Amino acid sequence: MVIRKKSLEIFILYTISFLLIWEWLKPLKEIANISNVNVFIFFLLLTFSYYFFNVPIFIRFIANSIYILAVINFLYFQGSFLSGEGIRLFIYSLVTNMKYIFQRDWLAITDSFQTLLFFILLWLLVYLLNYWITVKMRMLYFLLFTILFLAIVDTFFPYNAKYAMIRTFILGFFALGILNYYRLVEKNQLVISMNLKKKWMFILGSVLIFSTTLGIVVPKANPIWPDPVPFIQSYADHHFNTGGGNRIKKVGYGEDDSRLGGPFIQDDTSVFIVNSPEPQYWRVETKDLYTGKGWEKSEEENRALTSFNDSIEMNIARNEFFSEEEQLANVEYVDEVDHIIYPYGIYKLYVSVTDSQFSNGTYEKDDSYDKLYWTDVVPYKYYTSYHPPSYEINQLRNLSKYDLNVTNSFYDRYTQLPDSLPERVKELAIQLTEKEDNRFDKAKAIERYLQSYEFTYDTENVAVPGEDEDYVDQFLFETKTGYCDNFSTSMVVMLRSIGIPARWVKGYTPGEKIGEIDEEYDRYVIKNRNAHSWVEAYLPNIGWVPFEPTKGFENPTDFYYDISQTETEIPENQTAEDPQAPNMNEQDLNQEVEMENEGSQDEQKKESISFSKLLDEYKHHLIGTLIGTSIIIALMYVFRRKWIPYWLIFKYQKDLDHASFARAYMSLLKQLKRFGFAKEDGETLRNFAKRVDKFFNGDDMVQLTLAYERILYRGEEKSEVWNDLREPWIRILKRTK
Amino acid sequence: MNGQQMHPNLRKVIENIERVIVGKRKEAILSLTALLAEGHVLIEDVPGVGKTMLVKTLAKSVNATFKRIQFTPDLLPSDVLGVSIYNQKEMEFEFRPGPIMGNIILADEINRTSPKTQSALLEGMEEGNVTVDGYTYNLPKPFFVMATQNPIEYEGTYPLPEAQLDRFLLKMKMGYPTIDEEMEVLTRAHENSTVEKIEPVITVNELIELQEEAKKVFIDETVREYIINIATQTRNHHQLYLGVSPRGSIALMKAAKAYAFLNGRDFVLPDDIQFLAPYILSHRILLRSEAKYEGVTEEEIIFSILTHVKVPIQRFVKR
Repeated sequence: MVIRKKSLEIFILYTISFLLIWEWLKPLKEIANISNVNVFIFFLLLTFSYYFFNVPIFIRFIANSIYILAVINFLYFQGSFLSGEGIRLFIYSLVTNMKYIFQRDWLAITDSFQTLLFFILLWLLVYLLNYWITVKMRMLYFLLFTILFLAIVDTFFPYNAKYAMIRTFILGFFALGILNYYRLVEKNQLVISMNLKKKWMFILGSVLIFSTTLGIVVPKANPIWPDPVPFIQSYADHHFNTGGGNRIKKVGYGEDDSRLGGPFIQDDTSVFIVNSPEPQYWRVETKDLYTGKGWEKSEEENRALTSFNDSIEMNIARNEFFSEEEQLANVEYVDEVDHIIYPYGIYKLYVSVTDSQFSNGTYEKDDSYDKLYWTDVVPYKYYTSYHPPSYEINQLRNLSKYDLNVTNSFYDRYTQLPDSLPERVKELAIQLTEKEDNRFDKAKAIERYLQSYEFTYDTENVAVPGEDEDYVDQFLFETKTGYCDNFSTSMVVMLRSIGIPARWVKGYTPGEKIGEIDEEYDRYVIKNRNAHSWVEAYLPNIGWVPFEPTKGFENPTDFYYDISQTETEIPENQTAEDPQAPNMNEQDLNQEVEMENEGSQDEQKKESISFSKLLDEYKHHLIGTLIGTSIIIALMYVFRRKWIPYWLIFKYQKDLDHASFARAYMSLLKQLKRFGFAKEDGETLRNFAKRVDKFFNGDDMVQLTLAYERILYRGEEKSEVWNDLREPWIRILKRTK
Repeated sequence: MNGQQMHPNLRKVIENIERVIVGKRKEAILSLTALLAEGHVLIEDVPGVGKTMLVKTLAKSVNATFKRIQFTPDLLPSDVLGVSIYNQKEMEFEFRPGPIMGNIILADEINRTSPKTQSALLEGMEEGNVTVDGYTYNLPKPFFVMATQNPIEYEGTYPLPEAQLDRFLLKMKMGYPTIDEEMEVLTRAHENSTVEKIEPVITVNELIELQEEAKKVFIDETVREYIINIATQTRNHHQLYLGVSPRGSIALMKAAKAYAFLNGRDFVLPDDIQFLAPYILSHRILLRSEAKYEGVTEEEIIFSILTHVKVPIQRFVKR
C-alpha cells in the first residue's frame, strides 16, 4: 500500500468519498420521503472517521451498532430501548421482517427494518470505498454510477441535480487524479518525493480549475433529445388510462398571446389523436390586433349557438376553392384541453352518442375569430366533415390583381398596425414585394424571404422585445432567430404594411403519423409541441388564403398549377359585400376548380423538428465534416511514416515489460518497412539487423535484435530488457521518419 | 557470429585445426558440430585437400583415439569390425577388435569398397555397437566417423545407397584453397608445421560432457516449426523426387542445438538452421532427373527453399 494512513491525501480522498455519498443521500429527501437524512450523513461521517483514524475493527463495529440502534430506537421506538421493552420489540420486528423477506412480501417490511438495512448498505458502501481508495486506488466506477444516478434522478424526479452534477464532477476528477498519482507511483516503484507530489497536485488543481472555468464560461448546447418525461407520461396515460390530472403543464396551445417572445420548452405531451385521410393544418382561432408585443382581439366575441346538424360557414375562402368531395376526420382528446381543432373547409361538427348515432346537441361558434366552443361538456371524441381546400396558383395570381372591394371597417381591421411600428419594417416589405404585380406573389415573396437562410428556427434562444422594442422589428432586423410566432407575426405585419389584409391564425400542425387505420385513413398524434401559428392573407375574389412563413414548416394545403388553364375568369360575384362571409354563395361553384392534385400532397407530412429537416439543414456541414475527416484520415495514412514513430514513443513510454518490448520491436519492423527496409521472408532477424545497421551506420538494431531473439527464441521474460534498449529503439524510430 | 562468444574450449579446438589446415574454418566448425551432436560426417571431395589432416587434428585436439580405415575394393567386413581368432593356449576364441573400435575414425574413400563392407561400418555408426560371431561389442564413446568419398563420377566406385547416406549427420565438401590459402599451405609445409606439433585442449570425458550439455540447448517451438516448414517444402518441391524424412528434421534440430552450443548460446536461432540446412539436408533429398539435366544441385534447391520459407519473427504465428 502506497498511501500512508492518516496522510493529507487520504483525508482528502475520504472527504471526497463522503461528499459523493452525500450526493446520493440528498435527493432521497424528495424522492423517497425520507426526512431524517441527517442521521445517515452523520453515520457516514462516523464510519469514514473510523477508517481514517484506523480505529480497531471491534470498536468500529460496536460503535456503529450502538449508533444504528440508538437512531432506530429514537426514530421508531421513542426511547423505549432503555426500559428493555423496546429491545424486545426490536428483536420481534427483526424476526417478522426476516419472515417477510423469505416470503418475498416486500411491502410488508417495516420502516424500522428498512432503516436498519439502509444503514448496513451505507456501511458496506463505506467499506467498499475504503477498499477502492486504499487498495485498488480506483474510483471511476463509483463516480460513473454517481453521475448516472444523478442523471436519472434529475430526469424523472423533481429534484434538480444540476449543481450536484457539477460538484460530483469536480470532486470526482480531483479524487481520480490523486488516485492515479498513487497508482503510477506504485506501478513504477517510484520514490514518493514531496516535489513530485507538489507538481502533480499543482497540475491537477490547475487542470480542474481551468476545465471548470471553461465549463462555466462556454455556451451550453441545447439538449439534443427532447425531455423524455412528458412522452413517457403521455404514453403511460394513454395506455393505462390513469388520467393523471396533477401534471405540471408545459408549453402548448395558449390563449394569451399579448406578449410574445422568449424561449419555450418543447413539450411532448400528446393532446389529440386524429384519424384523417390527409395530413392537414388544424385551425383553432384567428387574431387581428397587433400591439407591437403580441396579439389581442380587437372586438368582442360574437358567439352563436350552433346545432350539430347545421353546416358551418367559416369565413375563409370562397366555396369554389373547396373540393366538392366531403371528407371526415375524427379527433380524440388525450390531454385536458377544451378548444376545438378543425380542418380548413369544415362543414359539420358532430359528437357521437353511440357508435351509430350522433348527438343532437349544440356548440358555440364565434364568428369574429372563427373559434368553436363546446357549450357544456368536452366530449371524449368528435367528428368533423370538411371539404379540403385547393388553390390553383395562376388563378390566385390573376384574381388577386383586382381591387380588394372590401368595406373600410374590414380593411382597417385587417391592416391595423401599431403606430410604434418602425418604418423599416414597411420598407423591407416594399423592397421584397416591389417586383410582384399581384397580391398572391407579394405574399409569396414575403413568405419566401422568411423561409430563407437568413432566419433560424429556434425555440430556446429567442428574445423578448424590450419596453421600447417592437416584436416584429426585433425579429426581422436583430435576432433573426425564433419560432412560429415570430415568423407568422412578422409576415402578417409586413403584409399589412403594404396594404394586404392579413390575420394571425393559431392551431396545430398535422402532428405525427402513428399508424394507418385502413387504406384511406391514417392516425396522427398531435402533441403540445405541434401547437403552431401561421398567416392568412385576404386576396380579392378569393378570400383568406393560408401562408406558412415559419422556417422548416410547410402547409399541406393544396396549391397547384393547372397547365391547361391560362386565363381565369373572374367569377360573376366579384364583390365581397360582406367581408365576414366573402364566400357565401354555395351554388356558385366554379366548375374550373380542379380536383386535388393527389401527388403533391402525399408526402407533405411535416414535423417541426423532424430529423430529415435537421439533416437537410446541416447537410453541408455534414458533408463538409465527412470530407474533412476523410481528407485528414487520408493524409494521416499517407504521412503515417512521419507521425507513427512519435506515437510509438509515446505509447511505449510506460508499460515496460518484455511483452511490450516484443510489441515495440515488431512495430519498429513495420516502421522500417514503411521506411523502405522490408525484411525478406527467408531473412533472419540478425541478418536483417545487420543490413539496417549498415545503412544507419550503427549497431542499434543488432542490439535490439539480440534482446528480441532472447525473448522470442529463448522465451526469456526479463522486464528490465527495456532499460538499455529504449534509447537505441527511439534512435532508429526517429531515423525512419 | 556477432554478439556471442564461441564456447571457450571448443574455440581452442577450432584454433588448433586452423593452425594445421589453412582456410577451412567452416569445415572445422561443421565437423565439431557433428562431433558435439554425436553425428557423423561425410566429406565428398577429391583426394589431397586436407580431409585426413582435419580429422587427425580434431582427434588430437580432443585427445581421442584416432583410427583410419582405408577402404579398398577387397576390404572385408571383418577387416573393419574385427575378428575372433582361436587362441590355442587359452582354448577359446579371442576377439581381435578391428579399426572401428576407436573414438574418431577416418573412413577413407568409403565408396571404393563393396556394399557389404560399407554396411558393416554404417551399421556400427547407427547402432553404436558391432556384432561379431554372435557377440555384441559396444563401440567406445565418443564415436565419431568421418567418411570421405570420391565424387561418384569417378570410376571404380560403389555409390552409397540413400538409406546409408541418411546415417551421416552432415555432408560437406572441402574444396580447393584459394591462391593465398594455398600459398600459406605451401609455406607451412615448407616450415614443417604438422599435426604432431599441436596439443590436446580437452579430454575425451570433457567432450562427452559437452555433448550432454549440447543436448540441453533450448529450441523454441517457433524454431522447430521453422524446421518443419523447411522439411515440408522439400517434400513438395517440384524438382525433388524425394524430400527430407522426419529423421532429417531431427538431424537438423540436433545439429542446430550443437551449433548453437558451439557458439556459446543456450538457445537455437533460425540463423543456425539456415547455416546448417544445406549441409544436413542436401544428401537427404533426391533430384528429379529433369532437374539433374538442368544442372540444378541439391544445395541450390535447399538455398532457394531457405529464401522462401518465412523465418519466425513472432510468437504465435498463424499457420
